[in-house]
Amino acid sequence: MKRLINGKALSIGLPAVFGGVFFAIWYALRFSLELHHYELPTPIEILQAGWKQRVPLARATFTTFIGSASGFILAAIIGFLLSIFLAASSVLRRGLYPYIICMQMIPIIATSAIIVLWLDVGLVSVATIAFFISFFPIVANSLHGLRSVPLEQVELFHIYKASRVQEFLHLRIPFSLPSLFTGLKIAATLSVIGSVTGEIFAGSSEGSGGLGFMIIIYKSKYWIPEMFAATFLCCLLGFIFVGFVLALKWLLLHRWYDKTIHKDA
Amino acid sequence: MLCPPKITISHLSKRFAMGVDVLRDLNITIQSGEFISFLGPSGCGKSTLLRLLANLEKPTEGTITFDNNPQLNELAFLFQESTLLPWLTVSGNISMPLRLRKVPREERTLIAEKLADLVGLKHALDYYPRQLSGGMKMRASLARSLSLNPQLLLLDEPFGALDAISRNRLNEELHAIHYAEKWTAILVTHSIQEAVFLSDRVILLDSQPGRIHKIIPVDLPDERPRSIRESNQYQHIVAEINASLSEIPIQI
Repeated sequence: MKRLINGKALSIGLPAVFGGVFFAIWYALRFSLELHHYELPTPIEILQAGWKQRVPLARATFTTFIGSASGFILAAIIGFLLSIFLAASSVLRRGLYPYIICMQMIPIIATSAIIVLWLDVGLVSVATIAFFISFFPIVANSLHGLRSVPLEQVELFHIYKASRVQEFLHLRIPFSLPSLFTGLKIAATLSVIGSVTGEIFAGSSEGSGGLGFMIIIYKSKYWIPEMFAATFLCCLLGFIFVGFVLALKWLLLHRWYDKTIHKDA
Repeated sequence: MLCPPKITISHLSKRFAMGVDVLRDLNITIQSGEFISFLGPSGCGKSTLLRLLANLEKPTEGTITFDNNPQLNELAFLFQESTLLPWLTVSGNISMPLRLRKVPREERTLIAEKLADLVGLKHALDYYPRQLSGGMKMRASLARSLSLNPQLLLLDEPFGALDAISRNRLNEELHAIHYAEKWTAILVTHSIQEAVFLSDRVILLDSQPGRIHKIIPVDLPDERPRSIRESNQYQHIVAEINASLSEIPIQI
């Protein structure tokens, strides 16, 4: 019990201490180097600027949220389904997987430019860019989970004369869930990054741009504290997405999941 | 009612890739309802033999025939690990083979309760595998293997990882169930005591390639209480097997 309390105290206390040191360095840099607020705004100045811009920033955050969530959900569904097909068919896996890896090698900035060219500016482009960046970790992790089932368990299903569909439904898919959530956790942060990157290219859709678009606007106006506020909101959105994935993981797996069994997940 | 199979193994050989001879020219008949144990040094092909019987491997030469029960509808395999599915409760694990056969839920639940009771796990029906001890996991695994009313039970060192007390207790429970149900059973083990306690015959295998070294009948009463381990007859058979095993050259 004492150990548990110590562990919890450390997991809250240590980030608080490091956060304090970080802010101290921040203030020290600002005032010792005599920087202006448009070079390095203080956290208070960022908060004040964010509060003044709360309406456009809230609208932009909501737009980014919709773009990220659409891309993320699409990536989760298509990625997981594709990983099942790849696990089920060695022909598909050998034929298609190298191209999925190649797709991941293309820098998202380059992909974004092409997507905007094809789909025009707006939410569809932003969600597509978020989808592209989130897709690979979901496919890679769930494919790993689907193919990591211990041989003895697969053989047991063969002995029980389970069909291929039953093998996937009752064995491979449940076994792969911890790995899928590892992929979803990575994809959650990437979807926000993809969405913001997309908005920088395609965010201005009839005045309802997301946070990426707002960052560009504030930068062009030299509203640096506002730009920092928008950047922090991107970070906050990423935390919310990851928090959602972790909560869902806990809800679905906490009763049976044992880290010592699924070492990779 | 299906009859436990009489198994005839004729000229059975298994050679793996790179030309490694695991089993060579194995000939033996296992009677219907008989409990047979295979003992031998590591690498003598005991587990491979079980995998061949379960059709998980194909023989290089020779045949295995199941005389009374040509289709061999129901066989069960108990692995060294419990192989329980961690996302299912004990009840869900025991009834999983029935679920795969689309047995209705109510019937599955009743069978799972009955089997859990048989292996002393009725109180743990709603537990998940991570909440179970090693012995409880193997009990659940044994109950699961009995759920399809198997006629042939293949056991690959199922109790090897357990402590001596749990192992002896599980041996007694397994013997009691076999005494009542009389399916054909084939056990692979490293424990001479376990083999003698459970079996009608113990077959010693030579190593690399695995061949029958000696067949030792276990002349003990069919009903074997815990106290039989202290009997002279039991001790004598254990000593005889021990002596025979020491004749087998081991390749390290």
